[in-house]
Order: sequence, then structure tokens, then C-alpha cells
Amino acid sequence: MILWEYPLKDKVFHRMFPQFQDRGYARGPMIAADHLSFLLRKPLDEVCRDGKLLAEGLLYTRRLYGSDLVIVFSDINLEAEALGVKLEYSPDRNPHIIEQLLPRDVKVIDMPTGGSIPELFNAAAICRKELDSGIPVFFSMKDPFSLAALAIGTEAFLIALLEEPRMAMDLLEVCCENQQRLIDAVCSEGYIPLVGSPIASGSVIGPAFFQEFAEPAIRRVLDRAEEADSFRCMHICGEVSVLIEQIYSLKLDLLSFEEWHAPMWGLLQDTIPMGYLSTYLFVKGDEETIERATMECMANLPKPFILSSGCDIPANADPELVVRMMNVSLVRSKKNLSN
Amino acid sequence: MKEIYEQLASAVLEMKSGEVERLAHLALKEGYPPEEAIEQGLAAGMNEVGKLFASKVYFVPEVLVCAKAMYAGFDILKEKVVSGSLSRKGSIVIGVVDGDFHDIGKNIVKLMLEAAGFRIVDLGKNVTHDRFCEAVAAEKPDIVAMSTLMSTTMDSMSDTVASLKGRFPELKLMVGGAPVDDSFSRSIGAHFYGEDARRAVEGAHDLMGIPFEG
Repeated sequence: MILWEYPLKDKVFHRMFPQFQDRGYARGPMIAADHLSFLLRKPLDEVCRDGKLLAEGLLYTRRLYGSDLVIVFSDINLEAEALGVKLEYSPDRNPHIIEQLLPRDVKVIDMPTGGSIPELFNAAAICRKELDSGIPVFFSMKDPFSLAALAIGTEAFLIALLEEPRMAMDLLEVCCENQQRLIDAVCSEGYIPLVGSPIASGSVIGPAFFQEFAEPAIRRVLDRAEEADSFRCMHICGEVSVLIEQIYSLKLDLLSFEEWHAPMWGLLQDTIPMGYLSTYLFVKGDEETIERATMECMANLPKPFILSSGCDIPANADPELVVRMMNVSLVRSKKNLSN
Repeated sequence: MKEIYEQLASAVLEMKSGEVERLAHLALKEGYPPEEAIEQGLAAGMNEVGKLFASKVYFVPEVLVCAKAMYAGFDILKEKVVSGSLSRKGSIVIGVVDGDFHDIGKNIVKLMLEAAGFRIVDLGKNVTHDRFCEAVAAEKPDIVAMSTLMSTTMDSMSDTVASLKGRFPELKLMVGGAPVDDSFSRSIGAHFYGEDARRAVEGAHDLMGIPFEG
């Protein structure tokens, strides 16, 4: 029996990954519909919006990569689309926004049934049914701040933080309500919510705006997960080191990150780190660089952790490199045990 | 520097669009050359904004609002600029590479370069390498600057650099964006990697052989 350093984090890890409690880490790349489309050779516009296809891809990659988890993630814009934002889809390119909303047109809706969101639940249900109960099914969703930015346009929303803060707050309130409804549904189905922050990122808004605008809404959404006996899990794109205090105050159970910042993890002793490997490596790296980065990850991340890509695996990533990341970690782990 | 130029620079830095407009009108009324007011007032202010952005005092929201203030003054002053009298350090075609629709970083780099005195031709986002080549043939820029936010479109950046180098060997190429780094930039044959907007402005000066007085 391994004696863990941080009991609270261990308890969470054991609940999330009962099969891997002795190993002290889990493995699983973050994968969106574009990589699934590439692997399945199916049109991206269909994989994005068809729960069965999405599940087929997720289950295929779980087998291919040997992941210890599944993250249901289609595309960053789907919740904004549910609010009324118009997307353009195509078979071989990521959907993109062609018409945004005016702030007054962003309404509280029944997010779990809006747009293509039911297909995400469909995908999650298929994965849950097909997988061993010890394999957690995560459900990716946007934080309210990022959703507000995607709904009315990132530049318009960021300018509003300074010029029309009341409007920005009102918009955040609406987005928060929507995401609370979504997280309630995610938790009630037994999936683990992973709240993603592509815009509420340290690189984009820094600590002051995060604290004033993003954090209160994120906290309210995460509180709902905790109230439902689920977990407080986030993914933050870009820099996290400038947000140390804010992230600490969110009392996260899990933080998926792109930027490795060692001192931060001295503070986040109750938070499971997830990520580490730059997505760039899966496009331009080779087996040696992947192996080196994986070994670094294994040495640096405080246990228990989740070995993963820093963000979603690039669409055209070489599957061999993802397999390499997954396998190297097991070899390394066995070596440690034999020593 | 004349006091009114310092006031213009400060008003840009403090995100006061109304004050920038008032000062721009005042500068014209009192007979200051609009070219000087743009270069020593507005551009100087944006240069300070770039410093604060690079040192993580300002983030994207502040930069966007400062840019709004700068353009509020620029729109007033440029009406009185005698054609061709505004000094231009060079011309730059800029765009986000094919497959990527994230243009906030590109827009910040664009406005910083524009404020620094470069003529900018903005191709927008999701720009194919053919479109970059067409623009270079038409505009004959000194530099092409391109960005991507996603690692998934780094290949597209590589293709664009290869196309441009093949057709326009004398052209200078700058790249930037979250997943890009110096080694990637060198590996695809770009001439400069700008890790942030301020470095991009420095790089444009370097590539043009112009001293950068940041």
C-alpha cells in the first residue's frame, strides 16, 4: 500500500479512478471531434453533432490509446450554438462562428436540450454503457465567462469588461444560469463535469479580470457539481501561473493545464494535476521527444495525477505518438515498482 | 516631446477615448502637424501599452480599449494628413493561417505594428496560402506576418511559409501564436518569431533594419 502525501486529493482520486488507486496516476489524452473524425475517417460535421459517431470515436480511441478515462468533447462552440450563435460546419474543418448574438439576445435556455447538446449526452450515455464502471466519463463544458465571450464575440465581451461592466455582469449571470443547468444534468447522469476555460485564461484576461468577472460565475457552477456529490474539475487554456491565487480559491479537485508551473503545485496540494504534454509534440514531435516529455511528467507531477495532453490532441496528430505517451508511462511505472 | 503629444500618449494609455478625441481636435486647432501628433502622441502611447502588455500589467481587455482610444484620435488626425507625409517604416501583410479563426492575437499585433508606423494589409483569419501569395503579389509588402492559436493549424503555417518562400525568396516572414515557438519558427524557415505583440514590433524593425526605439 502506497502512503500518499495528500489525503484529500487521494480520496478524490480513489473515487474517480477506483481501478488505479494503487498506481497513483491515470492516463488519458484530451480528444475532441476533429481528431476522432481524422481517425474514423468520417466527416467532421457529422462527428461533431452525432452522439453515436462521437461515442464510436471515443470508444475507439480508448481502445487504441488504452485510456483510463473518456472525455466527451465535441467542439468548443456547441454551447454558444445552443444559445443561438450560428456556426458553419464542414466535413473537414472545425466549425466556426459566422453570426454572433447581441447581448440582449442571450437568454436562459434549457441548455441540456439546446442545439446539439443532447447528442453529447447521447455520446456520454453510450460510453457509460459500454465501459467498465471503473472508467470515469468526463463531460466537457464551457465556463460561463468563456461562453459569454463566444456568444457575443470575444473582443466585444472583453471591451465590455471595461466599458460596460454592468452589461458584462448581466450577460455572465445568464451564462452562469445556463451552465448551472448543464452541470446539474451532467452530474445527475453520473458524468464528471470538466469545466473548460478557453477565454477565461491567464494569458487573455489576467488575474484582476479573472477575479472580478470569471471567478464568481465559475465558482457558482462548480459549487453545483459539489452539491451533487460530483467533483470540481477545470481545464484552463494558456497561462495558469498568473492565476495561482484565483485557482487556489476555487478549491479544485482537478486542474487540467497547458502551462507547467511547478511552484503552483506546492500550493494546490488538494488538486489533481492533469496535462503536461504540449499538444505541439503530437504534431511536430517524435517518439524520443514524446518519451522525454512523458518521463518529465512522471517525475514532476505530484501524485496522484493524470498524464494527459495539455489541451486537445491536434486533429492530424500521429496516433503512434499518443500511444507512445501512454505506453512510456506504464514502462516507467513498472521500473519504479521494480526498483 | 511637446506637451500635447505627451497628453495624447497618456490618454491612450489611460484608455480615455473622449480625451484622445478632444486632444486630437485641439492639436489640429493649434496647428500641430497631424503626422507628429500621430507618431509622437498616439503611437508613443500604444508603445507604452505594448510595454505594459509584455510585462503582464495590461492584458487583452486593456489593450483592446487602448486601441479604441488610439483609433478615436487617429480617425480625426488622419483626415488632415497630407497624402504621403506620414512616415511609413515598411508594409506588412498580416493574417491568421488557413483553418484557424482565432484572430484576437493577430488583431493586437496588427494595431501595435500600425501604431509603430507600418502600413498594414490585414487579410483576416482562415487565410489560405494561395491568398497570402496573391496579396504579396498585389501589395508587394516588405514582411508577411502570420499567426495561429491552434497546434492543429501549425502545419498550415508551415505550408504557407513554404509557399511564400518558394515564390518570393526576398520576402521576410514573421510568425507567432500560442503553440509556436522559436524552434518551430526556425524549423519552417521563418525569419522571426514574435512571442508577443511587442516582440513582433521589435522584430519588424529588425527585419527592416530600422532601430527600434522602444
